[in-house]
Amino acid sequence: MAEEKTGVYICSGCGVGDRLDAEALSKTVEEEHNPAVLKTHPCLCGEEGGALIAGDVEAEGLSKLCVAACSARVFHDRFSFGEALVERVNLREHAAWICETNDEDARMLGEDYLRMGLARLAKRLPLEPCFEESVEKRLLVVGGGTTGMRAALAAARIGRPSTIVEKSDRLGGEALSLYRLLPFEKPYDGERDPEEVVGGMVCEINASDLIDVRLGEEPVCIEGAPGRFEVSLSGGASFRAGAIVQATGVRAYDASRLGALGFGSSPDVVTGRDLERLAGEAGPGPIKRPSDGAAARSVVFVQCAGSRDAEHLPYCSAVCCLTSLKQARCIRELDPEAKVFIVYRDMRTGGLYEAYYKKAQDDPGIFLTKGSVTAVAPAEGSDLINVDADDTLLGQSIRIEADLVVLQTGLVPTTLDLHLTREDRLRKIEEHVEEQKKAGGDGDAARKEKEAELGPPPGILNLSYRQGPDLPVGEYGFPDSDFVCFPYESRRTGIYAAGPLKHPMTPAQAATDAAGATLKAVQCVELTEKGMAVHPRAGDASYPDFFLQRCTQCKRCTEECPFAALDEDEKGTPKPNPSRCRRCGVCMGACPERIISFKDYSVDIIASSIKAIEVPDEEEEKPRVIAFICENDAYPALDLAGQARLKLSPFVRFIPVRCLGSVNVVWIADSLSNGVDGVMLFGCKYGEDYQCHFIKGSELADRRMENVKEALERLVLEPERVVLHQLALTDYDKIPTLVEEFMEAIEEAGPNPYKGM
Amino acid sequence: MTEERRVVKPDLAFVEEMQAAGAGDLKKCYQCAACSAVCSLSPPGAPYPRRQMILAQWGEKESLMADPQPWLCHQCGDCQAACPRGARPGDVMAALRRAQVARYARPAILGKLAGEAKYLPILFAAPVALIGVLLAAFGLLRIPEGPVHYGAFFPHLHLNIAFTTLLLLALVGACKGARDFWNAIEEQAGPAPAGAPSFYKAYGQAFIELLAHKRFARCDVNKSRYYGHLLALWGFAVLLVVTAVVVVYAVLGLYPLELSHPLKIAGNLGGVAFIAGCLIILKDRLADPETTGRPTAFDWTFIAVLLGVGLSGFLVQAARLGDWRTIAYHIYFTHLVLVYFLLIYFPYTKFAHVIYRLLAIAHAKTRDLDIDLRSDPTLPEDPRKNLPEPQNQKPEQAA
Repeated sequence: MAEEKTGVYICSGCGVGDRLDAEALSKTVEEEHNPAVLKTHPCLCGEEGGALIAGDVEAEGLSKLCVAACSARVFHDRFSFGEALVERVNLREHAAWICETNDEDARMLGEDYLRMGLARLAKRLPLEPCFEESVEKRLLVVGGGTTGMRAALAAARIGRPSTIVEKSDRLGGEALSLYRLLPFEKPYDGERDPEEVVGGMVCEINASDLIDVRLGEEPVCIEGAPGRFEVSLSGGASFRAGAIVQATGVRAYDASRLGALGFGSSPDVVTGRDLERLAGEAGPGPIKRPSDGAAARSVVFVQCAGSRDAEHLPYCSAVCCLTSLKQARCIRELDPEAKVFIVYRDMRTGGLYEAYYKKAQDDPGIFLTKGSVTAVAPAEGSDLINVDADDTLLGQSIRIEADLVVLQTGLVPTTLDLHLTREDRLRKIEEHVEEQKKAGGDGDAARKEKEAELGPPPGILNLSYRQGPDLPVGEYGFPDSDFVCFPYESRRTGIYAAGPLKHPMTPAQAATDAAGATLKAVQCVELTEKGMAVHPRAGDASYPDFFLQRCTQCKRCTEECPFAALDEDEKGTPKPNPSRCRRCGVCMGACPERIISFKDYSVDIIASSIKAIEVPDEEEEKPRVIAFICENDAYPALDLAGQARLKLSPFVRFIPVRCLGSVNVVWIADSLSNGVDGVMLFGCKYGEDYQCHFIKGSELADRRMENVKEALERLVLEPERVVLHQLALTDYDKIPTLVEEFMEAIEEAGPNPYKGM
Repeated sequence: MTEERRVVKPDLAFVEEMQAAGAGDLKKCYQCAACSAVCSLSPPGAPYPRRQMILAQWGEKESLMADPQPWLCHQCGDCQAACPRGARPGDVMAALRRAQVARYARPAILGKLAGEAKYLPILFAAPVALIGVLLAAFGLLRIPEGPVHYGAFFPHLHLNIAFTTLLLLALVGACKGARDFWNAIEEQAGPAPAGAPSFYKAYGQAFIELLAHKRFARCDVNKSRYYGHLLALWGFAVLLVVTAVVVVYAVLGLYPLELSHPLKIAGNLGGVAFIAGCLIILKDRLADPETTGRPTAFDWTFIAVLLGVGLSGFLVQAARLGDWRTIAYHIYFTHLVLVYFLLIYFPYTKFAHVIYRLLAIAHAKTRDLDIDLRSDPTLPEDPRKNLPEPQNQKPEQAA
């Protein structure tokens, strides 16, 4: 390796010079580091500044550059110089703009940031992207319903091969069980014939030589990682795939739980699904009610049947209102004398579906009212069913005498069933083991016995991942994802949920969602080919190295990886899969042996940066605080605080981290043993409605900090010296208060007793 | 639950009838109640027309036929201007009034005939035939020689007897209809609260308010309607009185009168006011039917007959004064037919509003559900003042 030559450039533009004396900083750097090139400039980001650096790189053969100027979030392209490693030091937002005056404290802050940056730069190594061998471009589409078919067609349109795996013997999925389909494109004013829609798509699929269809089959095992998934099907065939689109859809909520709405009290109380069948059987002429085959002339729809209800489905399934309008129109079309009543809680027909709502509303035989259905019960002495509703728009409590009552049930994701069944299976096994143990039996043997008895857990994808065979689910059993920022991502890299499986959506949304998920899958294959990460560090070519000789098989990394990137061998040693990895560093934060490192981000690099901070003696009364800030939200929030010229204590040194989950507790120990008086951590919101880009990084950090606090107490240090704050981007204005409060707490606790040791 | 649970049985045919009778947009209503909020006549305790909109959508025929509120509405158009869906509540109220006129028509057959445009020829043919028969039986059936003298051609005594008889019959029908209407709305509304004004007092109040047109004055979208209806009403009233007196004069042989005769002056002034009022109403209808209300044949017939009566009345006078011998008697014949149509059919045409509106307002007063006309309708500030122009015209084309 060629000799390292470092260039340091200090910018005094954008008001940096008003608070920090660039020449003085430069002098300090020269004394302490004596780099090959050291320059100050009034505007580094300008053409002249760029040319200056580029010229030096060329003339002096600089391999490492330290650019002390503005936020690392701006001008990434202007401060890129070929192969040279660039370390950005944020003197602008994180120092000059938050300092009250250009006093000694401001100078010390600037100096420390330069020292920290140069320490990081010294330890950084050039990136060596990790390429997968022969990346497979083919996509696997699981589920051959309309969403799955659209996904395959979207891939074909951009020249990508795909294989649709459909467990039934026909493409079309749920659409084929419907009498009519809702419109899914402009002008949203009429129903579509499912055979026609599905038929058209099947024709297109058959005509494409890029789409392979496997009917009557399911994945029994998927091994590998993005770019090299090995898919084995139930029929025995196997093939490779680069990425996966899961479009296994939803099923109707179990109506047998809706006894309170009359389900089960009469065969003439049916579900929306049943109505599709009844409409299909009606042929020309009125719908026949199940009890006696008589014409159903008065049909009542009960909306939100088990939806938006804490005891059933707490969410809105997005299509039930539209479905009832559709079915009402079909009933009226089959029988112009029929009266159809829809009792709704809120009529929700979002977006352009308003046109469809208006169309249905205009039918004189469709009667709509808001209301709460209080009872559905067969009438005494007649074959009718009474539907009682209160709080109606008619200003009265009403009773409708119905021939047929339709409970429009909500939808649940197919992943929910897996989740529930798996939990049930685990519970049964644990119960059996406990029983056997109590009876003095062998726990392990009992476990194996019960596992064999129950058979393997059900799966859709059947991934051979250490963390389980399917997409992890979040709230309500839908696949979990950081929906706020990356709605298409799941918690398994390269596997994308599409359509209503992801969350309840209208047919129009599902149609575009299929294409969206497919494009994300294609993007994943592309990035994998280049050895780069997908979101949120899309394009990052670093990856974690494991120094396995020192691994103690504690399994923390394999358990805590939010994306199941790591498998395990029999002993519990991690087996990395770089293309599954999102480069968050949660494994690095977890590892007690500190054997996990990125070339440009490691325990050692950050520790060096911590040690580079000059901690003044106790007598100087200049406390020092280190704040680890998450790059995703806290760092830009701090930038915003700087832009707003909010004033912060000059005693705080901010250290950006990829995710709070990557903060190794040794950094806290290093900080405190370095004489730093306190440590703050700023990360994303966790728990329900988490905002963490890496799902649970900040939550893990919080848990680890609790352990740290216990350790502090053993060292007779105040646990108040370590705090963790959840900070959203919009909370930037709260930073000064949070810092101020912490400084006060530190002052109360007194100086770090380990200072100067 | 203290409220009574009512079994709803929508009358699908009624919805379709309403849609055909000028309320074609009634199903567009989504019950936001903007109409009730902007209506300056809607009483806070029982706001309309939101309620009528849902009842009409649900084909609640019986309930609507016993509802006096459509008559509280003066069709000023404020609600249609504010409706975000273009559901045209004003037109729905108009269609409901029309349906009630037909419903309480006694005999019912006349309500049916007056309710549909296709029966108009029959309605007109009846007075033509009657006057023709009277002419044949008691007149000359030949244009008389000499200056125009209507008495020489028309057997006024017989015409007056026939007319008065028919008018009395129509009044009997009107009374019967009014009573049925009153009973129906009373029954639906339930007993009046204690301390409410008596019917007579309420009716008297309503009548006095009518003379001043206080309700019309509250209209925002269509201000000129106030002047139009006020002129037409007062002009008509003067004409009615003058005509009645003149009939007595004619019986006494004091006919025709000099132009300078006070009765003649009053009659001519009344006629001018009447025609001017009718023309203003016509102008409003023609200029902006989207806001004021889309007129149906029911409305047009009434306006046309009113104007016809006024104009032909003047022509009758002009023909006599100008001695237009060739056409004078034809004009008079036409005038007679129009007057018969207007007055004898009054309980069955739009003219019937004079019966039901006063009753409905009186009813609202007995239930303490009328607005307080003494309050200033412009206070507090008109909520629509700062709103953008409503876009309720043909919303489907905006897509």
